[in-house]
Amino acid sequence: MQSDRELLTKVADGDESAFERLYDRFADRVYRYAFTILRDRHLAQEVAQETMTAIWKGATRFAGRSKASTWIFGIARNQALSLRRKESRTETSPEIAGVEPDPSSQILRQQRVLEAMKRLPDDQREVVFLTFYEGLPYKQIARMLEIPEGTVKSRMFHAKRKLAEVLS
Amino acid sequence: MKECRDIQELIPWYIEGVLGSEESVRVSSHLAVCEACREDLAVTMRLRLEVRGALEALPELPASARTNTMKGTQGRPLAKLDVGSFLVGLSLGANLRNRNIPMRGDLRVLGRTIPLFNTARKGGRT
Repeated sequence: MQSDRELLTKVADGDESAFERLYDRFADRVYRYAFTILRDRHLAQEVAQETMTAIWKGATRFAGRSKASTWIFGIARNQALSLRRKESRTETSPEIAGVEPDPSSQILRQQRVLEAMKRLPDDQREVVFLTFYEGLPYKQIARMLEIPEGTVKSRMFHAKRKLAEVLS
Repeated sequence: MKECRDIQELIPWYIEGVLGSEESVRVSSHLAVCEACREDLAVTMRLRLEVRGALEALPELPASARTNTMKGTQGRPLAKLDVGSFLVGLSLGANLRNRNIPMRGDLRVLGRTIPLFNTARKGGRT
């Protein structure tokens, strides 16, 4: 299987099938990341589309200094934050959990977890996603968010405490 | 206590297996002798599972997003011709992208695609 970096290099060369593979590998992850930031599925979908389009147009700008995934999530983050700024002017109310109520206990538990995530400050919720869902090292998260490594660790520490308290 | 705080800050990435070897050894050695941090490890592992499970349970990105993205990048398919079989085949395609009609041809051999030409590459992307 080709690495993310190899695919990006091909995309930079205009390889459409490489772009399709990259899309299949990342679009849904970008969507979930955007949902974590924006808490709105429609806006998250918009971010996923915009991000993938930006990758197609700007793959030549990937300098290879970071992991391809870090670069891609960095683009997604900028798109999401820019959309959030725009949307804050039109006052939308974030979705509570993003899934419909369901009587099954597993689904109820998942909704409770998403609700607990929602209660975290934005900056902590984002670090939780990048760590627990994407498995990115704290050093990469720090580079991506342009914050000190200690801040990443501290945000995660406090987020963990809050989640444990709410979900215990 | 300071050591416990430092270790508990590293535990999420220890679980992910993405710490450097030095930090990883430091966490392992401390866990071997500290019950409070072992408990934190267990709590963090459970939280990780729950958070991952909840995020994975979110509805997937709709298929329409893929169609929209491909239209916006590769253009709208105008014509596609596939000849041959799985063993050996030839694909020719033409898209409408803005006002250009980039064309591409690929040779398929044993399930692998070998690009023959792609006019979009020479013309640059929009």
